[in-house]
Amino acid sequence: MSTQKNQAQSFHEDFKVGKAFDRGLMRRLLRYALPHKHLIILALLLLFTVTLGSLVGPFIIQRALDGPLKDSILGSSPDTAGAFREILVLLSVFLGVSLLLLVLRFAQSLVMAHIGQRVVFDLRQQIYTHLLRMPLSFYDRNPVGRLVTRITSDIEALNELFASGIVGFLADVLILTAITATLVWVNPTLALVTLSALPILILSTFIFRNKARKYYRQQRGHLSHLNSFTQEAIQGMEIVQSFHREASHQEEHRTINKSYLVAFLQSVMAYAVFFPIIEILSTVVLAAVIWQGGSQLVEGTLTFGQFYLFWHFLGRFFQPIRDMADRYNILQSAMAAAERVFNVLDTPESLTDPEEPCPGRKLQGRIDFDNVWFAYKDEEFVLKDVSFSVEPGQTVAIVGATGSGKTTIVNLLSRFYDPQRGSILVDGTDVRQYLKRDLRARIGSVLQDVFLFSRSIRDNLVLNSTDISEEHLLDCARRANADDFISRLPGAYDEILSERGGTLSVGEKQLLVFARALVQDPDILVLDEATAYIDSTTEALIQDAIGKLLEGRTSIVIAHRLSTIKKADRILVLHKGELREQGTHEELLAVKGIYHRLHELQYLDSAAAQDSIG
Amino acid sequence: MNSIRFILPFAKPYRRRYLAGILMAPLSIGSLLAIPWLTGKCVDLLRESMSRPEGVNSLPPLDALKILLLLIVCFACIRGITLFAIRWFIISASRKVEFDLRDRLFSHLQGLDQGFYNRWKTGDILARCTQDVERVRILAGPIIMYSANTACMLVIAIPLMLSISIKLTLLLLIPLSLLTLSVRKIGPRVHSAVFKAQETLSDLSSLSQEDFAGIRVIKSFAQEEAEAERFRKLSGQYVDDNLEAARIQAWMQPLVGGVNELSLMLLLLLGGWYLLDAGSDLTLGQFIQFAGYQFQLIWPMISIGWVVNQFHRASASVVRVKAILESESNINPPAEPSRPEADELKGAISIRNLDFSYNGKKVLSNVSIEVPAGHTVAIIGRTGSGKSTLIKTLPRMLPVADGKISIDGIDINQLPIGLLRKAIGFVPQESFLFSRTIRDNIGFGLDEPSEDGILSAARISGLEKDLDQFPRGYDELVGERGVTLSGGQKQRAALARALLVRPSILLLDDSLSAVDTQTEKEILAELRSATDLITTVVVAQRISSILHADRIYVIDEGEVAEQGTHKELLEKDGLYAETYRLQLLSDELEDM
Repeated sequence: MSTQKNQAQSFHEDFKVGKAFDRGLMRRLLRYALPHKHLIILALLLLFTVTLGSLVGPFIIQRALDGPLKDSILGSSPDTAGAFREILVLLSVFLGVSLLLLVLRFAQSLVMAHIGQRVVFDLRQQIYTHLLRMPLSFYDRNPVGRLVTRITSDIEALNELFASGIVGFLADVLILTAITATLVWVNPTLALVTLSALPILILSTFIFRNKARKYYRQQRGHLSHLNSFTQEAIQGMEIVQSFHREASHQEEHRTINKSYLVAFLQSVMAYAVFFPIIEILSTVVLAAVIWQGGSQLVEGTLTFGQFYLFWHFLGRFFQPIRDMADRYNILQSAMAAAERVFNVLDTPESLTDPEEPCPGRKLQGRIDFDNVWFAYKDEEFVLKDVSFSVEPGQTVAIVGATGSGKTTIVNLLSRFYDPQRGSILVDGTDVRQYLKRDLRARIGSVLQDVFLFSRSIRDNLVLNSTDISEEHLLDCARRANADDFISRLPGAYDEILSERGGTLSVGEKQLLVFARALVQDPDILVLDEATAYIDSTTEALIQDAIGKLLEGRTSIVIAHRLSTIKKADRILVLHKGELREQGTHEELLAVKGIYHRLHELQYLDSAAAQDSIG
Repeated sequence: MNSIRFILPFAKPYRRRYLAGILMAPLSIGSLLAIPWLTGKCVDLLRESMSRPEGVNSLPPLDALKILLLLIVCFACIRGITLFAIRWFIISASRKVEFDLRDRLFSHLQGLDQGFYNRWKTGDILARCTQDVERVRILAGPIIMYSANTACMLVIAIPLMLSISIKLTLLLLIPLSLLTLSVRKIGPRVHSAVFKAQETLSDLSSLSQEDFAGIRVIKSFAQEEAEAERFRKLSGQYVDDNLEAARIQAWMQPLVGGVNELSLMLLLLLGGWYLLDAGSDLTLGQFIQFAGYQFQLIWPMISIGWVVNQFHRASASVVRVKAILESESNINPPAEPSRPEADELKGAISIRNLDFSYNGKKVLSNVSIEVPAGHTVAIIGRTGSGKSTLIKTLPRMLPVADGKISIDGIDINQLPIGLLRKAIGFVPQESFLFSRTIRDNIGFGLDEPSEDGILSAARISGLEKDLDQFPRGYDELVGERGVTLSGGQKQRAALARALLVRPSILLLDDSLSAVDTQTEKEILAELRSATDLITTVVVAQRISSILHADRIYVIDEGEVAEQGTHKELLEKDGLYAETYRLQLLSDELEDM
C-alpha cells in the first residue's frame, strides 16, 4: 500500500539528521547556560581533577613495581621490611586519592545533572509562556501534538546536551589527551606503537556509530509507526471488527512488525560485529606492545612498572572514543531540537498589547461595531461592513446560518483576531487599546464546544482565581442548576473530571460551563447557545440557567431557541457575512424580511401543536 | 519461574539459536581469560631472561615470546568470533520471540469483544503491547546472554584465580561482591525514581496537551499567566524528580571506580607482600594475570545485580502481558453455523423482547422491533436511553442471548460472524477514521475497492463536494500528519465507508449529527434513492433526519415508549411531538 510507505516516511521526519554544529544556534543556546556559569565552572574543575586523579592508581602500581618491588621481581630482595613499608606509604596515598575521587565523582554527576535541569527549566518555561501568548490563528495552523513535542522531547534533547553533551565532550578530550601525553612522556616509541591503532579505532567507531544511529532511527521510525498503528487499531477496533477486517489488519500489523524486526536484526548485527572487532584490535595492539616492550625490557630501556602502565592504559583508551561518537549524536539531535524550539520562540505574537493601555476597570458594557470587515484568509471576507451597537445591560441575539459570521463577531469582540477594516469599541474605547488580559477578563464566553479540564469540578469553575469564596461558588452553581448533579457525584465539587469531562452528559457539561461563567462574573457575556435537547428535563434546566446568566449584564447570544430570541432586546440577522436586519422581535416582524419568513415557518409548523397544548 | 514457563513456548522455535549461543559462552570466556594468563607468561618469560645471563637459555626467549604472542592473537580471534556468535544468536532469537509475542498479542486483541475495550484504557493496552513486551524480550535475550557469560566467567575465572592464590582471590571477591549488592540495592531505587520523573513528565505533557487544546477557553478567561504558573510548578516538580533520580544514580559511577581502585589496592597490598616474601612463589606474571582477572570480573559482577533486577521487572511484565492473553471474548463464533440461502442476507430484522444489562445496570428491557427487508426504521431517544446499545447488538458488537435477534429468520448467534458483519454497514456515533488517505478510509471494508465504488460512495455521502478543500483530493492523509477533517466531513467519510461494502443492512448511529441541516437533507435524499433496497436502521437526536422513516421508535429509559410514523407520533402529542417543536426553530435557522 502506498500510504504505508508515505506514513513510514513521515514518521522518519521526526528523526531527521540535521547539522551537527551550527555556531549561531550554539551561541544562542549558550546564552541560556550563562546564568549558571558558576555551576559550569565548578563542573569543569571537578572534571579536571577527576580525570587527573583517575590516573593516580596505575602510577602508584608502576611506582611500586619499579621501586620497592623491583629487586624482588628480579630475584633478590635485600630489605623486605623496608620495601613493604614503602608499599604501605604508596598505598596510603592511593587510598587518600581514591576516597577524594569517590566524593568528587559523586559531586561531578550531581553538578552535571543540575546544569542540564536548570538550563532547560528556564527554556521550557519561556517556550510555554510564549506558546500560551500566541494568537488563536497560530493554533489553527499547528496541531496540538506538534506543540507538545516542543515542550517535551525537544527540551529533553537540549537537556542531554547541557547535562552530558558539552561537559562530557570536554571530559573525553581531556582524558584522551592525558593518557596520550602520559604514554608519550613515559616511552615515546612504545606510545607510537599503542597510538598506531588509534586511527583504525576511531574510524571503526565512527563507522559503527553512524550505522548504529541509522538503524536506531529506523527502529524509532518503525516503532512509532507500530505504536500508532496499534493504538489506532485498539481505538478503532469497533470498526475493524464490524467490517470484519481482522485478517487484513493482522497482515498489516505483521508487515510493520517485520520491518521493525529487520531494523533490529541489522543493528544487532552491527553491534555483534563491532564489539569483537574492538576486542581483537586491542589485543593485537597488546601483543605488539608486549613484543616491542619486551625487547626494550630486555635491553633495559623500559621498566616493568612502565610496561604495566601501557598494559593498563590500553584498556582505557576505547571508552572515551566510543563516548565521543555518542556525544556527536547528542549534539546533532540537540541542534535539530534547538532549531525547532527557536522557530517557535521567533514566531512573533501578532496581536500585541498597546504600549499605553487603557486601565483595566469594570466595564459599563457598551459595544460598538463600526464598519467591520474581517477575513481569516486573504480576501475571503466572513464579515462585510458590519455595524451595530449594544447598550449597557442589553441582550442582543444573533441569528444566522452556519458560516454566516456569528462566531467571528464573538472572536473579534474578545480580540482573538483583529479586523482588517473598521473598529470594535467597548465602552467607547477601541479593543486594541485594552490589555488583552483586562479585556478578556471582563468578557465571559460560553462556547457551544464545551471544554473542561481534567481537574476537579471546583478548579473548572474557579479556574485559577484564588479569591473566590465558597459561598459565591455554591451560589453560582445553584443558579446555573448545576449544584444538584455535582452534589450527587462521589467527590462532589472535588470530583476530578476525566479528559474533556467524558464522564458527564452533554447537558451536565453545559450547566457546568454556565456555572463557570457565573463564577467569573463578567461584565459582558457572550453565549453560543447549543441546539435543543431531546431530554426535556435537562432542556428546561438549561433554559432556566440561560435566563439567569443573561440577567443584568450586556450579552451577545448566538441563539438557536425561539424563547431566547424573543427575550432579546434586539435581534441581529446575519446572512453571508452581512448584517441584513436588526431590531426588536416586533420591528423585525414588521419589516417582513428574512426574520419574518423564519418566524412564519416556525409559527405555522407548530401552530397546531401549540393549540393542542393550550 | 512462572515467567520462564510463559516464555518457553515462544523460545522453542528458536532453540537451535539459543543452544548455539549458550554453547559458545564457555569457549568465549575461556579464550578471554587465556589472554591475561598468556600475558603473565610473557612477563615471566621476559623477567627470567633478564635475570639469567645471556646465552644460557635453551630456547631463545624471543622465539618463545613469539609463540606466546601468536597464541594471544589466536585466542583474541576465537574470543572475537564467539563473542559475535553469542550476541548474534541469542539477541536475534530474542527479537524473533518479541516479534511472535507481539503478533500473538495483536491477533488476540482483535478477537476480544467491545466489553474488553470498554473496561481497559487504550493507553494501558498499548503500554502492555510495547513496554511490557520489550521487558519480556529482555528476559528472552540479554538476561540469558549475560547469565551465560557471568556463569562461565565465575566457573572458569575463580578456580584459575584460586590456583594462583586462595587468599588473594578471597580478598578480591569482597569488593567485587559489594558491587553486585549495591547494584541490587541502587538499581530498583534508580528505577522507581526515574519512573516517578517519567510520571511527572507525562503530567507535564498532559497539561500542555490540554492547555493547547483548550486554548480558547484559556484566552477567553485570560488564564494564560495562571496556566503558565501551573506549568512552572509542575516543571519544577519535574526538575526535582530528575535531580532526585540523579542523586541516586550519582552513586553508581564513583562506586564502580571506587571498587576498581580498592581491588587494585588490595592486589598491591597482598600481591606486593607475596612478591617480597621469598617463601611464596607468586611471580610478577601471575600478579599481572590477577590484575587482568580483577578488571574482567567487574562487569560480570555488575551484571549479576542487573540480571536479577531485570528479571524482577520482566516477571512483572509477563503478568501484565498474560492478563491480555488470558482475557476471553464474550462473542464467539457459533459451533455449527447456519447459513442463509445463497450465502446472502436480505436484511429482514426481528428483535423480540430484548433485554440488555451493562455492569449490572439494565440498559434495554423488553425491546421488540420488526424491520422488513428494505425498510427504514428510526430510533430516537435522549442520550443514555440505550439507542446505541440496541444498534450495536445487531452486528454482535455486544453479546445478546440466543433467540432474541434474528435476521432473515436465522438467530444472529448462529450466523457465521464474518458473514453477518459483512452484510452490515455500520456507521458509529464517533466516526473513527484511520490516519490513512481518504481513499483508504473509504475503501477500508474491501480488499481491493474499485475506483468507481469509492467515487459513488463519496458522492452519495456528500463528501465529494468538500473534496476541493483537500489539496491532494482522495489521496490526502487524514489526521495530524495530514488534513484535519471537520466533524461533519468525518461522519460523511464514515458513511461512505459503510456504503462501499454494499451492505444488506445499514446502521446509522446518530451519524450525521455534525453535518449541517442543508447538507444532511441532500445526503438523506441521496441515501433514500441509493439505499432503496437496503434495510436501514437510523438512530438520531435530530428529528429532521428521520422524518421519512417507515417507522419511528421512541426509546426512553431502555423501553420502547412510542412508535409509529412521523405523522402518527405528532398526533399522539407525546415525547416525540414535544421534541419536534423544540427542534424546529434551530433547524430553520440553519436552513436560511
